[in-house]
Amino acid sequence: MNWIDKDTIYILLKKMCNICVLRHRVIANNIANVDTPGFQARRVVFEEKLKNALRGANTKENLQNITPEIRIDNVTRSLREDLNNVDIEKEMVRLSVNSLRYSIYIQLLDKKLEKIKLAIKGR
Amino acid sequence: MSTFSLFSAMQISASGMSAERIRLNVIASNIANAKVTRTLQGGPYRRKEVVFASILNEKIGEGVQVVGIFRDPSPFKMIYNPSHPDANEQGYVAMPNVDVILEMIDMISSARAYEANLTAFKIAQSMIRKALEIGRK
Repeated sequence: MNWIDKDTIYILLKKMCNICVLRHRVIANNIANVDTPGFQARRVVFEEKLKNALRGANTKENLQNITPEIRIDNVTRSLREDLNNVDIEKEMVRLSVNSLRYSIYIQLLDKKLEKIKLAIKGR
Repeated sequence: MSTFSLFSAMQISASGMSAERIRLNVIASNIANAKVTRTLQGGPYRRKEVVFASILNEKIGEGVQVVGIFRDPSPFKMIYNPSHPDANEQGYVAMPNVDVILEMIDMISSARAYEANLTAFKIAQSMIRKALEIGRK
């Protein structure tokens, strides 16, 4: 294990980037299936688990062990005849929110690495 | 492919675009043949319909695919026109079971779905570009 892999912020940012990619994939799949009869939208459940992991005692281990879960959305009721419950507008909004969050995490990660570089090279 | 891969997300968007393009092709064929009374199979043109199904891989979907293009079994429209060469003894002509208005609506919905998939694809592209910016400076 590398020394940087033990840094809590680094672990967290890396994890969040992965979650964003996974979420993008799931939303892209929902959009691709907007006309598939009987299709039910899928959701990535992660933030709840993250909250619990951060609340516990040994945060670092908890962080490494939490994994995202993909759930089928059976709460949203379908208003269509073919029982498809994909709401295209909401999915598009989720898609762009997700991409903006991804760029935040990437920027934070970049700054983090920049600081390490500064520590190595000096000004 | 890995679950955490933007490239597989792009594949999913591509599957959506390709399915919508096939649907658009079939709709175009239906509109073009809305008044055709003679086909190779004999009789008037029968409306075609595309059937979609999602590709399932465990719990995460892998996009959408076209299962098949089926013929609409609904009856032909009988229109009274004795001067038509294909009219029967009573003077009625069997016209294709295509409703042009319905096809136009389907066409718009298909084009919009295509655009939505394209947007998802472009966002995946921009996310990859952002990831490439790590450590640039």
